[in-house]
Amino acid sequence: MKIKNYLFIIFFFFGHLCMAQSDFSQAETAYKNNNFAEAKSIYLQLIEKGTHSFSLYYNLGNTYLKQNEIGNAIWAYQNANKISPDHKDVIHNINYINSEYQLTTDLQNAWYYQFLYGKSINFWTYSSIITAFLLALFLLYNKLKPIKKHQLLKSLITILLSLILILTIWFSNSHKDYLLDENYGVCTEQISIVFSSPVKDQELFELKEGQTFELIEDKDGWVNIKFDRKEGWIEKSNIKLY
Amino acid sequence: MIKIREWLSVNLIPKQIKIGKMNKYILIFFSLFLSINTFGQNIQIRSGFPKQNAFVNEVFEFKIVSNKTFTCNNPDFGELAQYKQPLTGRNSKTSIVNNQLISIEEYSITYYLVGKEAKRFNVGNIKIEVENKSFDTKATFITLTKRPKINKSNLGNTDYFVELNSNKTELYQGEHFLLSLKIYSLNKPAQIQKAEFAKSNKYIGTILNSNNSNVNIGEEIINNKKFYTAEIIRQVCETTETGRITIGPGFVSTIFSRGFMNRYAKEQFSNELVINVKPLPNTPENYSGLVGNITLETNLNRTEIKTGEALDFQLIIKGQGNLLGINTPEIQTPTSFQKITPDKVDNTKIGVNGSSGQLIYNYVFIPSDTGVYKIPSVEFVYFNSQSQTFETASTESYQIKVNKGVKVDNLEKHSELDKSSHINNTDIHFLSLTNEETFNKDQVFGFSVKHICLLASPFILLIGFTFFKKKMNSSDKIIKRQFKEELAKSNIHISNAKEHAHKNNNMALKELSFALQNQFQKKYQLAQSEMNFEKMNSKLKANNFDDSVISLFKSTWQSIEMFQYAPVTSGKIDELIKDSESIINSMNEK
Repeated sequence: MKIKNYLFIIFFFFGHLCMAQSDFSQAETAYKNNNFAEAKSIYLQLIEKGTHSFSLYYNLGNTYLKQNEIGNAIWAYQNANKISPDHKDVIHNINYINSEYQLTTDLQNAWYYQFLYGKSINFWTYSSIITAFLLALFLLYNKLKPIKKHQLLKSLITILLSLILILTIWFSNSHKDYLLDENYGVCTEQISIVFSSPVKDQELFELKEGQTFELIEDKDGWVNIKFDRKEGWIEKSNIKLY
Repeated sequence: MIKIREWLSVNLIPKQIKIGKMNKYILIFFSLFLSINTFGQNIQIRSGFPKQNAFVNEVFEFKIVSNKTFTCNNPDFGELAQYKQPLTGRNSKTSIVNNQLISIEEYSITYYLVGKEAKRFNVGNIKIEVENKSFDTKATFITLTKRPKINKSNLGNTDYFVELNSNKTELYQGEHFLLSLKIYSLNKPAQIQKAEFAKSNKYIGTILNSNNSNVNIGEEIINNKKFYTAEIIRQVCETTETGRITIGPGFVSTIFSRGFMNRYAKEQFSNELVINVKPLPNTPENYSGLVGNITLETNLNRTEIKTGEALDFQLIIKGQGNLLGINTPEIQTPTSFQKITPDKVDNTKIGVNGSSGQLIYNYVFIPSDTGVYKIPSVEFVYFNSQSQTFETASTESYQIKVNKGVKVDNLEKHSELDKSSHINNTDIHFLSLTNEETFNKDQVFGFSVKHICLLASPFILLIGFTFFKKKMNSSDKIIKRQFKEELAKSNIHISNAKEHAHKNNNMALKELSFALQNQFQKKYQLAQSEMNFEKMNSKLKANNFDDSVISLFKSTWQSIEMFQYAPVTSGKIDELIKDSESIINSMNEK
């Protein structure tokens, strides 16, 4: 019975993967035939189903860019950059958008982003679990075979493993937050007004399509944003968060 | 009027005065009345030029002064132009008249005017408003004359003048010339406030030194007078027309120091200049528009290439002249070569001889068909201003062999790819999704319950193990375990006895004896010296064993002892083993 269950899970997982691959191929073909709308629709469906990957967001960014949807293209590239920071193609395309549309979109691609978030999604989680087992085994070994020699070395190894464990747990949490949290946004409308409060009382400034900002608060269809040292509220329907 | 005259004759005028003189008195009276009436308002206005003569292009003042505040909107100065914004002022004077302190205040507006022609300029009445009443200033005029050409032999009484110079007065179209503004002053200038050349659409100029604060002051003796001189500003120019071109006067505002903390400014226009720009003689058809002296260089990254690959071709134009006016040179390539808009690198700088340096054009060609092709030499026809002839700079030609390579059918077949199509074809890379690993956000389990459980599990196991081990190491448990281990030894002896039975009965009997002794020794903590039948038997009785067990022990023990010295049958040895086993089991069960 157990074996049957495992087989079912394996087949389900690979079946899902194969299905996604088939959709990707379909989108790729549509893209190559300059049918960007169809390619975009397939990519968006995949994302709606919960599928995520660097290539998925990157190619979606390309389809958006081909259709001159700059704000959406930046949103897709930013998501691709979150999964694989410092990717040269994403950097290139963002630079292209910046120069063509006079924008100053910034990517989070400092060296530590590549180090912390450039690995697979659960890299740090598995690393922390492995380190925990190694530390426990080392402690157990010391318990079973108490050797009075090399006490300093044993202490150092214990401290080192403990430190690695703490760091990997921290990195794991940080990576999860980075992937799942939405702390930034991009304007997807040609012009969006930023108000002083969510009741549209006083217009503060305008956001152009493609301009990115920092998210402060998300509340009832409005978001409080920080852009160029200015704060204000903008309608959530005019933006996309990443 | 008659009534007034009658009233005056009756009441005021002395009777001795003849009535014929009456008209005169009436006029005097009215004049006085009007004067009193006017001065009763106490409004005084005066206006005019401080001097009646000035030079063409000289800045002079027109001043309106009143003892009351006044406004003057858009005064009309006719053909005179306002040089800069008017200056409003207020002056207060206090004096003692008949032992009384009298304070007089004056308000003024000073207009700075300039005229461009030598003639008399009339300035009509200018309307001003004082205390909501309108007044007119007096009409006046100023005569402008041409400034006498000041040179080193004709200085007159001039103590300060500005000279406009050009390094060439005869030049060819496209040739550069250098304009400069130089001041001459008897007083040492402290600072140059402003310096500018006249603007004109007949030539294009580039200022060489715009930093007025860093001017080298020299000295020149002219007509036995020591003049301080300074070349304030220089401009490299290129004419846009041919013929006689008048360069308008430049302007310099210089600040002088008079004693400590007392500074004043002198603003002065320079002379005009006329230069003659000659058209180029017999201009060839392929003339590039360049006047100067240049050389050409080309670089090609390779001469053998595959279709679809990029060929880098570099053209370098080196030299001096009007380099910035050069249009991007067209390179004649075979029709199967696609050309991408070249990048231009400008390494030129502007100097007194015009621009000099090098312009680098980087071309990219992409051949689409195989074969052997030729890139012809690049020729550049320019006018050498030194030799005053047209010359041709040229480069070597190249032969390119194109082999079969990547198909370039999908590339657009136009001569020059614009930026967007360039981006479309190459810059946005489309990724292949084969074997791309996808994930679901639920799969990210860092810092989840699952993660924490997995992290904690080795430590929980470690703690459990430690606890278990600790428990196992407690004294009672040790005794019990040791006891169990010792008791287990009795069974080992029984097993040994079974092995030896029928082969070596003596050994088998010894093993049985050891088994029973070990059982009693460990079970009842008997010393080695107490290991005799009586003691063992009493222990059984003390522990309330059944009589059958006691009698079985008695018979077995005695038989073991007896058969150690007498032959024993196989059946008996088996029986003894069985009985010993039974006794041990009974003791263990108790």
